[in-house]
Parts: sequence; structure tokens; C-alpha cells
Amino acid sequence: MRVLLLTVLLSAVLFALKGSGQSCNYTLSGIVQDTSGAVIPGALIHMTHHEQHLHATTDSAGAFSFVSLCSGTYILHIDYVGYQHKDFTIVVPTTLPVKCELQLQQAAKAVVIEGIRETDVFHSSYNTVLTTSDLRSQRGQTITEMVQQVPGVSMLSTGSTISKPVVQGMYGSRVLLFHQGVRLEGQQWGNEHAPEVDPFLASQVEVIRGAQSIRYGADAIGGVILTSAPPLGLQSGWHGSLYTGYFSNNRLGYCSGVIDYQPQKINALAFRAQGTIRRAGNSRTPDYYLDNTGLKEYNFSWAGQYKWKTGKVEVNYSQFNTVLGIFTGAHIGNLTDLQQVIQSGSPYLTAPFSYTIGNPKQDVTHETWSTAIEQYAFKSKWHLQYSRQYNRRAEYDINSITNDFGLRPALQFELTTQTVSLKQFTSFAGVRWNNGLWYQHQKNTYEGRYFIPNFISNAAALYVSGERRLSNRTTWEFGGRIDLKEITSYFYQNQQLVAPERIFVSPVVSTGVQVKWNTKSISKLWMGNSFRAPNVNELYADGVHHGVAAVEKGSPDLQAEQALNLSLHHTYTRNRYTVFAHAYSYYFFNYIYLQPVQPPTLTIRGAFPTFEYRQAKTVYWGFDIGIRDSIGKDITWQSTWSSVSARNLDLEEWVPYIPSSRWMTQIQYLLPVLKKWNCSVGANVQVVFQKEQVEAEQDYMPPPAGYALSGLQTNAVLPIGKQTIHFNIQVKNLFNVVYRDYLDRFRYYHDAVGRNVQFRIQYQF
Amino acid sequence: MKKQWIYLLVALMAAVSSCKKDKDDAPAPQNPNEEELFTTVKLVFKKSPSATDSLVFSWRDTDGDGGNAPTIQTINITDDYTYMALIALDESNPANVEDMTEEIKEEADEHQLFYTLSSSFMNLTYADSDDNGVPIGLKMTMGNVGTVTNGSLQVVLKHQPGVKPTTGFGNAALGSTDFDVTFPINITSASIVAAP
Repeated sequence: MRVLLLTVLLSAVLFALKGSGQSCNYTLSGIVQDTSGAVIPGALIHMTHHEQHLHATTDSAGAFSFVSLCSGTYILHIDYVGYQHKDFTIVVPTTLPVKCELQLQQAAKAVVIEGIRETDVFHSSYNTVLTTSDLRSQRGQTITEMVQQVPGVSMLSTGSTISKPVVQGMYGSRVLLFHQGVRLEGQQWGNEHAPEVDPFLASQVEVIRGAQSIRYGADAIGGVILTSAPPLGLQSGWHGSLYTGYFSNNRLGYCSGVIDYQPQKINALAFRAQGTIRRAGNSRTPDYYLDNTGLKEYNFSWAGQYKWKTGKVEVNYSQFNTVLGIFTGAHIGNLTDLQQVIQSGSPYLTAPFSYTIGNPKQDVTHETWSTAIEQYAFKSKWHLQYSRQYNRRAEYDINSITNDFGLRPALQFELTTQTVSLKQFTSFAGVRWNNGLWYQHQKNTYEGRYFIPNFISNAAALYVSGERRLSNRTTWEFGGRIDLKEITSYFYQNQQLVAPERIFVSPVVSTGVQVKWNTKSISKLWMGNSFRAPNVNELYADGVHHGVAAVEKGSPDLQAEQALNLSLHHTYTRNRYTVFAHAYSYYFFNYIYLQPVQPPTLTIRGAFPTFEYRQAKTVYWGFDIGIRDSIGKDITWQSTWSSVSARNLDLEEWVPYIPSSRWMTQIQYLLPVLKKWNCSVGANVQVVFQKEQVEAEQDYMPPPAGYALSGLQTNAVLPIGKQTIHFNIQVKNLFNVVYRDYLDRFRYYHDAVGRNVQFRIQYQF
Repeated sequence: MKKQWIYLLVALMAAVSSCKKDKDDAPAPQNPNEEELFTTVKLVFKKSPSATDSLVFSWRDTDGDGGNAPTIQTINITDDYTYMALIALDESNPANVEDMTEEIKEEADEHQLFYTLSSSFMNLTYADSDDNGVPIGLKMTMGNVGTVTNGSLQVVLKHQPGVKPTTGFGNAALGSTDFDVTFPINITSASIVAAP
């Protein structure tokens, strides 16, 4: 019987000035390492204290922390793949630092596994984790709004209701989103298509920057966003959370609940049920309401798990339903209408507050079913997953003669995706391997106005990747992957049904190295290529984009996009402060972009500027830098700066819709007077500069001026017996600043939203 | 008791998660020309509103946006024509031509036609109005008709739900454009044509 040794470094830092017996301001942080000193990311830490349950997962540096702890005795369990956890008692406050050795015994008798990690994340790439407490103060917002606080992440929005994340200047099909281990398959190509995800389920959101092609998909060029729920079956009995909140600006109200159950007698079984309702009315800019910008959303999910000695099976089901109002004044018929709106500077139509959602609107349903089996066999951990996703997107135009006065969607897409994947985690020849096979079948159909064709696609991939420790300081990671994608599209061309087929094949390789120079400095270097088969819209789109008064035309002969990515990251930690710098660059051999073509397309609504998909050599480069510091014992502040540029080398032009530079600073003060409530107050400022790297002829109006937004927030935690209640109040756009953002596609039509006071309550039991 | 809870939970889960299916067949896409849309704008010119003889000129794009370019007829009339009517059609499906004019009339309080001339070779005045007395523009009276060569007449149908003015003569700057077509126009003198 083999034993895995884990070394847990624990340090309890006393935040309170005069720590009395009942102070609740302790932070317990530690690093999980194996006996060789290598950090263990993805290990699950479960801590109990008088029926209070706390969870954490170690990050890419093997670190975890628990905040706002009261003094007392805590029982710590460290759960690590394939090994039975062992209880371990710690008294807070401790004399610091504490070094303890934990022996975790292997659960399976015959199988010998050493240090297999479950995570797919490469540690030499740059990752940021939003923890449960980070997410707690962002609840009620969309996943895009949540990840926006991560340095280097911004959002591309279409008015006040629709937004999608931008990572390292890239968005849409160049950024992948994994929700509960399933790659989200909606109509990601559309700039006005928001991700179909209920973020209430997530207890952790991770953003991985750079080309993540090997393990997540060849097209993960900009990065990957992973949302994950807490693992099932951590504790027996009934446990859960209730969330509710209210936002003043659009009178948004939300209610969400999650309940976990593990039968006391049958520990192998665990269940979870979850549901969310969100409802909002018209948003308000500092000067006027935005007509028809409400939303209503209802989501639910459930999960079940059955565990045995050497494996487990898990079933997940979720359904996401949303109706998003689209600002009526942005519905324009042609270019003249658009120019008139831009000239007048404010919408021709304003309305009072209302919850009513009329046309135009989007009505989107997303359903996901997944089944995963994990099993230890042949000295490996195997992970087999099947998932089915169904996405229906119905877009309603403004009521008119041509669409039966809005009863019928102007266009509707139905996309069904089935995926099977098999992963192998093993240790062999001094390398931790993570290998996989992947197959995906997709079917898309449309009804209504033509924009993209029906299609059936088959894609398959095989990858091999691993991690090897070269020395105590240096870890080397590498991977190779081969992708094959076949796509047959069906559409009418000159009244004839055509069915062109395209096949794309390409290898992808990546490598990275992580060096821990000493206890203070870590450097990461990551490089790799990516490959992205053109989307159907890039191949065969043909139609008018209503919001932007332009005709978009696909090019059937596009080649797959090939990109090289290089990134360098350095973190330095000393005493109470941490500084980091991250720089990246991309070289696209054949970046797919929209190029204006002549002549404009003449339609019955007038002549439209016309854009066709072309390919060109393009470079992206940018950086994120930041500092985090504790001034004194109760104050922490952090400041980050992000910048990104992209240039089309063939045209010698700047690429449009690249985020402008932004600077974010926040400061938080832990109030010494309300120690028991762990009360904190904070302030933040976000400065967004005017985008200067633009070409005047690319756009109908120059990029909007830069702006600065300020915010305030306060948090409190109220423990009531075994339960806790978390309060959060925050103000966004405190000074009700009038501004427009370059990455808002509705910046032609209206100002961005004004002051928003948000109240949040979470009840945890 | 506990077990019953589990059964209830499992039953509930199964009940709410019947998989949704796409019933459409991908290899048999819908022909986009089955959609209702404006494809044709016809202008009917008469010497008087009650005259039976008329000249008709059309702006046609039967395959919708993109595809084949539209066919546009040049308006050739003489200066004794004093009345004009507009007909809008959906001719995307030749077997089922739809008259959209009636629907504009039904929704008159949300629609208005605006006419723009390349130069002031005639006066165009509205000869119809909605329930509020604001013009629609399906019927127009032509006055002071002069001769012109290589002139143009632009016709814009604005859809103005909720914002069409209820007094005055309308506002072309509001709403979204349903169609925006421009006809070349030549007007010759009736007396010269009639002389021989």
C-alpha cells in the first residue's frame, strides 16, 4: 500500500488589533504540496467548525485561504483525487507559521497512482480564479459582468442587456466557456449573443488567458472561462443557500436557491437541485430611460452523484431561459436612419420605466444534459463524459407588416450539440499525463430570415499532454493535439438547394515552463499555436445586421485560422504585497475579419455598406500589470492596468472593436468596530481611456471619450447559530456619469446606464 | 420517510427535464423566399384621380436583400399627369403575390411615406391621411408639374410605432425605414408630344 504525503503549510494571520476570545477576523491560508515540494492545484479543502462548513479549492499555486474565521477549533479535511481524506484539527489563532504533514491513504487497493491531478489547467499559463467570496458581491449579474473584474477581461455589449466576455482582446468563437465541465455551444459567433449560463450555480469562476488549445479545444485562442459548482457529496444531510437581491437602476430583482442532499445512511449518493429567477425593467441612463430594455430569466438545474471505491458517476441537467428586450431606438431600417440617430445625439424615443418587454427582443433557451463517469483502472484515472446541448435562439424584430406584427420571430436558430470525451490522467516516466479523445456532432437549423445556413458538422480530436518536473524549481508542460472538422451546410443559392462540404485538419502544439526562483518569485512562459475552423457565418452569412446597418457576407473559400501565441508572466510576493506583470502576443497567419467591400448592396431599404469575411496577417499584443498590498492590518488595496492592441498587417490598419486601456483601483477597509459582523467598506475607481488605435473610415462615429466610474461597497456577515447571512450593498457609477463605451455596439444610439445601487443577501445553511 | 423524499426528488427531476428537440431537418432548409417582405414598389400615375388610363413604373427586387440586383424602371410621364398612387407588393413567391398596401393602410397611424425630388420640378402634396389627420402618402397630388430630364424621385416608407406625430404633417426623422427606393424620372411637355 502506497502513501501520498502532503505537506500543508498553515498560517493564521491575526487581523484584529486586540484579538479577544470571540474575534472573527482571522484568515487561515495555506499551501498544499506533495513530499517533493510540488504544489497541488485543485485539491479540495473542507473545513468544519461547530456545524459550520467551509470549502476551498487550491489555486494554480496550490494555495487556499479561508477568511473571516472566528477563533476556535477547526477540523480540516483535504480531499485529493483517489485518496481517502483524513481529518486534521487546527486551533485558530495558531502560532504561525505551522507546518504539518498529512498522510493520505490511497483508497484503491491494487492501483498505484502518484500525484494525479484532476485539473485540465496548464500551470504555466496565466489563470485568475474568482472565489466564492469574489462572486458573492457580484451575484445577480451575468457571467460576463462577473468576469469583467478580472484584469485583461472586458465586455462587448449590445445595449444594456446583452454582453459577452472579451479576453485578451478576443471574443466570440475565439473564447471558450465551460459551464460545469461542458463546453457551451450556443451561437457564439454573434456579437449580440450573450452566453447562456446561470452563474448562480458557480462557486468558482476561473479565467485562463492565452491559447488553451490542447485540452479545451483548438479554437481556444483568446482564453477559456471555466465556471464550476462545488463538488457534490461533501457533507451529509441538507445544505444550501438562498440568494436574493435588488438593483435600483433597472429595478432588477433576483431570487436563487440551491439545495444539496446526501442521505446519512447512503453516503455514496448525493443530490442537488437549484433554480433562479431574474426580472428587470428598463435601464436608466443619467438622463433618460431606455425603452424596452427589461429582461426576464428563469433557470433550473439538478445533479446527482453515486460514488464507489474507485470511481463515481455524475449526472447533470440544466435549463436556461431568458427573454431580453432590445432598445427600440436601435432598430433602424437603413444607414440614413443610423446617421440621423448619431446626429441627434440622443434617442428619438424614450419611455418611462416599465417591466414590459416588447419587440425587438431575444428569446433564448439552452438545455444541457451531461453524464460523466470517473474510474480508476490500469494505473490511470479515466473520465468519460457524454453531453447533449440544445440551444434555441429566437430573435424578434420590431412589429411590422412583414413579420405578422411581431408574433413570429424574424429569425430562429436551433443548435443541437452532442459531445463524447474520454480523458486519461496518469503518471508515467516521470510525467503527469493528461490525454484525451473528443468527438462532437452538431446540427443547426434556421427559420425565418436567412442569416446563416443549416449545417451538420462532425469534429474529432486526439490530444496528449503532460507535465514534468525538471528540478525543484522548474516545471515543464507540453502538449500536442490533432483536430479534424467536417461541416456540410445546406442553403438556397439562386433558388437552388446547395450543400457544400468543408473539411479542416490541423495539428496544434503548446509548451510552457514555470520557474519558482525562490519563495517570492514565480515566472511563467507559455507558447503554442491554435487552429480555428471558420464558423458558418464566416463562410456563408448573407444578410443585413439590423443594429449596425451593414450587410455581412461570408466567403465560402476561407481557410482555417492559424495563430501563434506567446505569453510571459511574473509574480513577485514580498511581505504584504504582491505585484504581477503579464505580457502576451499573437501572430495570426490568416486572421478572419470583416472587410468593407464596394459597391454597397442596394436593397429595397436603401444602399447598405457591405462587409465580406477576408483573411489577413494580424498581430495582437498587450499586457496586464497589477499590485495588491495591505496597508496596515485592516486595509487592502489593489490596482491593475490592462492594455491591448491589434493590427492588421496586410491592410496596415488597426483592428476595430479592441478594448481600450483601462485602469482599476480598489481599496477595502475592514471595520474594527463591527468585528463580530466582519464588516468591511470599500471604494473603487475604473478609468477607461478613449480608444485611439482606430481607423476613421471603419466606423460611423469616432470612439467615445474616455470616462471614469467610481463605486462604493460594503459587506457584512451575520452568523446565526449554524447559519450565516451575507449582506452586500454597493453603488456602481456613483456620480451618475454620462458616458458611452467603445465596446458597446449601441453606443451610436444611447448613453450607458447611470447610477445603480445594488442590495444583496445570501442565506447559507 | 427520508427515502420517500429521495423518490419524490428523483421523480420531480425526471419530470422537469424531458429533452427538447429540434424537429427541423438540417438537409432540407427553409427557402428564404417564403418570408414575407417588401420586394416591389409601384408608382401609378394618372391625369386625374378618377381617370382610368394610368402609367405604372416599378422598383423590383424579388429575391430580397443581396443576390440579384434590383430592376428599376425610369418614370417617363408628361406634365399633364396630376395624380400618383403607391402600391407595395411582396413578389418573392410568384405563385402568391401579396399586396402590402392594404396592411400599410391598416397601420396608417404607424406609417408614413416621404417623397424627395432631386430638384423642384413639381409640387407633391399628400392626398390621404390617418385617423389623426396626419398624412400617409399612398395617394399624392402633383401640382405645377414641369419638365425634367435625369431627375429622381425618392420614396421612403417610415415605420413609426408609437412615435408617428398625431398632429401636423409628420416627421421623416423618426422610426425605422421599411423601404427606401429611388426612381429616375423624366417629364416631358404634353403639348410638344401632342403637337404632331
